[in-house]
Order: sequence, then structure tokens, then C-alpha cells
Amino acid sequence: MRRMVFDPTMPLEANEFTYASRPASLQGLRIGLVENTKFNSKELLCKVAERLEHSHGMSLVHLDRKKSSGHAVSEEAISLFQQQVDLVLSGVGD
Amino acid sequence: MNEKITPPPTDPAEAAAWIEFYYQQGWSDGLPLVPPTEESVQAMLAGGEVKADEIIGTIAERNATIPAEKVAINAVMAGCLAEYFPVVLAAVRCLCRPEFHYHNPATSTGGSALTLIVNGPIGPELGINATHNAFGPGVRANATIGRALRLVMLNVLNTRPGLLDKATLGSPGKYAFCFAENEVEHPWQPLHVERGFQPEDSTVTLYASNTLMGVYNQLAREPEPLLLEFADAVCNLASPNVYGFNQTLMVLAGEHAIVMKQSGWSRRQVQEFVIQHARRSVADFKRAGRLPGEITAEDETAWRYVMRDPDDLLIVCAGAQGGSWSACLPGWGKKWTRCVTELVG
Repeated sequence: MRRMVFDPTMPLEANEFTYASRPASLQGLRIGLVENTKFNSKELLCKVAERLEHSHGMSLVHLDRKKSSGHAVSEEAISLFQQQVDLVLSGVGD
Repeated sequence: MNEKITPPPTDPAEAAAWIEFYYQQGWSDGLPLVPPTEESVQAMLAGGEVKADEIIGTIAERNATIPAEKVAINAVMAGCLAEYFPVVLAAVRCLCRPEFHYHNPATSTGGSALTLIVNGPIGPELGINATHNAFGPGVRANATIGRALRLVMLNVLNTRPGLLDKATLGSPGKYAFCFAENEVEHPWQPLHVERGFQPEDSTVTLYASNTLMGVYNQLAREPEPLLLEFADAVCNLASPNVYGFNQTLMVLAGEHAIVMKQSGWSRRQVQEFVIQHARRSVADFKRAGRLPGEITAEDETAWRYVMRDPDDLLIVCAGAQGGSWSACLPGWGKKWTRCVTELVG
């Protein structure tokens, strides 16, 4: 009788990605925010952005509101960030 | 020892060793697995009329592809008979529907139990329990079909506790939660017909439920008092998604189904009544700390409704004829996941 082991699993497949090049300085960067719809998400992110505006002369350019916390950032928002923003902040904010 | 029962000729110690081996691989949900064989996996695939390398579905946000063979292996391990496999496959296709948005209910701290509701001729054909203890143990089809789906989630989609399942507490319903609708004693047309299928179709509906609340009422002989209880259960302050974008599953059982059947009320009337009464004031939410801010006089009469669309109240009939027990299962959240239905076969 053959003795076979049946593996029921599939591996976790990760997409390859590369980080954007890092800015030499934080001074004057344009900020994008990704708000995930959780209760305090927008409030928390805006406060962080406000502090960065004061401390490093940054400016808030765009706040994107995701469809839900479990949805990916839309392609439109990613495209906008690529063109107009140097730094994107996100977080849970529950 | 029962001398009237003839056991199989194989050594139970060998079977136990295989079960232990599968435990050691980390492939179990915590309960013993049926060790698959080439024959049982092939029989499962044949039962579903699928080839081993056929892709049953994909889930983009998990970067996941689900081949039929992996589903078959998990179904065998769950204890499914081959004839159950078309139902398991339909359930897996439900998982992959974009509007179900698998990643949300499967991963959330909310720990929803994925609920399978089977409709049509396949339910009686497979002996899927729709009556006594429909949510409980004792029937192979219910237990193993529900379990097979969870094993696919664990093993194929890596929805493992602490990894891609971040549930704070989870739910016993996450082991297995599958039942058939009691279409015989239903006050109205069954769920799948309500959702656009033909009565002769067999379907599986997948619903992400957050919890299960029993609804007890032994005196109500008219719809209103009974439905007021349902509405009260739906809008309790502890429900996570109680602000007004939820789906809710209402399970009419026993004498409650009879009350509704005899009342002459339509399904739509029931939906509209419950929606109208499933509400809490802003003041209630503030008192419970579910909304921030000081309570104002206006807050006492400013209402938040749990549901907006009558179709968001899903009504099914299940359970035995006797008893004053029904159930309410608030959804994990309409905004993030939608109930989906797939044809079997």
C-alpha cells in the first residue's frame, strides 16, 4: 500500500515591491494622507500632518478616504500621490 | 464493546498515528483530521466534477489562487463525503466574490463566523439539517461542509490565528457553521428565490455574521410583539456595526415561523417593520461611549437606524417546528462585506 501525504496548504504569495527613494530632508515636503474610515483615522492623521507642517514646513496636499479599512488604496489615489506628493501617511486610527 | 457492530479490518492505532501526523504538520483546526488518500481525493474531485488543477477562484487582496485539488484535500480532511463537494465548491466560490470582500470579515478583530445557508433540493438530498438543532452538532453534512470551508480558509488562504486572522476572541461558529433552510415550514418563499434564483435551483449563501443571539418569546401570537423583540436584539448597543450600514440575518424558527405564516404579513412588511424599530438614539450611543461628546436634549430624539434598505434584513426559516426560539445574527457590516449566493454545480 502506498503511503502518501497530501499537503492541504498554499504558500503566502507576496508581491514584489520596491521602496520609493528617500528624500534627503523632511523640510518642505508635500504630504498625502490615506484615511481608512476607522473612527479616529482622519483626526489622528490630520494632527500628525499639522505637526509636520509646523515642525518641517510641510504642506498637506491630498487626503484620500479609502472605501473601507480592508480595501486597498485606489489606483486613482496612487496615481495622484505619485504626481503631487512626496510623503504618504497612513494608519489604523481605531 | 458493542458486538453487533463490525469494525473495519484496519488497525485503529495506525489511523490514530496518521491523525497525529497531520496534527503535527499544523494543518488542523484543532480537531482530528481525516487522513486523505489518493482514492478519497480523487473521489472528492469526481464528486464536484472538477479537475485537480482547475482554479475555483482567486482573492485579489490576498494574492491567493484556490486550486480544486487543495479544496478537495481539505474537504476530505474535514470528513466530507464526495457528494458534499459541489456545496463546498459553491461555498469557496462565494468566498472569492469581490462583493464579499473576504479579507475584511476573515481578518478583522471582530472575528466573524462565516455562515453557510443551503437552499434548494440539494439540502434534503444530502441530509443537511434544517430542523432540530440546525445550528448545533449531530449531522455530518452540516458539520463537515462548514468545517471544510474553514479548513480552506486556514490552509489555502492562510487565515490562521494571529497571522491573517486577527480576531480578538473569534467565535465557536468559526469551526463550522452550515445549515439548510427549512423551506417546508417557511412563511414565505425561501432565501434563494428571494435572491433571484429558481425554486428548483440549489444554492449556497455566504454571510459574515458577527454573533448569534437567541430570540425567545413564548407568548406573542401576533407579528408586532415578536418583531419588536427582533428589532431590540438587532440594535443592542454592544453590536459593532450598529450605526446604520449593516446587514442582519433573522432566523425564524419553531412557533415564531408559524405565527408569521398565520399572520398574513408579507416578508417586505416584516422587513420594513423591523427596520423602522431597530434604532437607538444618539443619546444612547453617547451614554455607552459609542459616540463621543456631551449628551444634548436633541440627542434623546435623534435616531440612528441599524439598517436603511429592507433588503438588508435577510430572513430565513430554520429549526424545528416546536419551541419559542428564533435567532438574530447581526452582520459583520454591509459597508465592508455583502452576503453572496452561488449556484451549486
